[in-house]
Amino acid sequence: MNIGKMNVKMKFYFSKGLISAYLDNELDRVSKAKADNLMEQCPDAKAYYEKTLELDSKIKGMPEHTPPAELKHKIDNAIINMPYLKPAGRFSAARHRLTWIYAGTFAAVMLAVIAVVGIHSFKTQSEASRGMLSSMDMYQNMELYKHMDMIEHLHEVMAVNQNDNTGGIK
Amino acid sequence: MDDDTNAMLRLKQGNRAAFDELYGRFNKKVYNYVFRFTGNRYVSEDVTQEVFVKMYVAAKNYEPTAKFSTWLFTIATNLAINEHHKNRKLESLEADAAHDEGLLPDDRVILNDMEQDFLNSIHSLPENQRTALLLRSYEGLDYTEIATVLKVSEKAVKSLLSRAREKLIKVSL
Repeated sequence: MNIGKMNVKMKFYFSKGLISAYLDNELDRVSKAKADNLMEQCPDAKAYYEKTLELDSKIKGMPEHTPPAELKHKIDNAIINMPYLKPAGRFSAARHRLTWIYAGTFAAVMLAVIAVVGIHSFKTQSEASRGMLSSMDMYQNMELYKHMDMIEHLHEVMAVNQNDNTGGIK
Repeated sequence: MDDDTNAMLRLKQGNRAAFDELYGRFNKKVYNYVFRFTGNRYVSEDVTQEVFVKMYVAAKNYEPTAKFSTWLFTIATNLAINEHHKNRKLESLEADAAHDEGLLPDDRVILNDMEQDFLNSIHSLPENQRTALLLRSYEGLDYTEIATVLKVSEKAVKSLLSRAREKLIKVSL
């Protein structure tokens, strides 16, 4: 800037963050205008911006490498060897359905077994109780017979005693 | 909904072809991103494999809340950082051994000296600056997406990128 005969060099202090964000197109309209203005007036800011551009294209221009072909096979093998890692969704829903079918079948079989065992045990119990009754009958009859025998025996004893008392004279 | 998200949702439904589709679209990007990050071809292969296996596993819980590429690069970044930490010590031992035997590290075989120097400059950056710079300049993610990957604010991303560029301009231009 020329003021009379003096040549005054303007010194700008610029934010490198502003230039960096300008490069990334991440500034709002006001900040972008500020950055544009800065680069117009400040050669250092302009130079810095150009360097960031150069750096950016250097990063972008780095050679791209193709991953080895066997990498896909490795990944496929890793996935296959871990069946529990199958994603959810269709497979999992099918697995769920199967689980419910198995559980339902198992429950039905268990109910049937319980019913059969129950009926069988009921029958056995009835038969056993019937058997117990008949045994009791037999026992009671035996007791009765015993009593009848005893009575009969008593009668005989009494008759003998009577004969003894009368000296055998009736 | 973009094609990537759509493919991921199909994978979630158990569509295996969707996995191949996504692999085809992203394997080179992920591999090169990890290679630029770690500077090691073998680590890049391992990490890329892990990224896609993880993608397959995570498909069942995938919700399209963010852009698919942001989600995938978050996985790639986390795995690359973990793997890089694990291998850092090993790498230095191997480099010493290679130097003693007069051998070049394998990675130099596929890069010329200038590219190797530039890659070394990128590796000299702190991890978060390096990640931000690679995601922005190489992958073209915006500040919001980078903030999601790095779990920082957009303001922090702006600062990380500015510092990374300043440092790289000093050492490599």
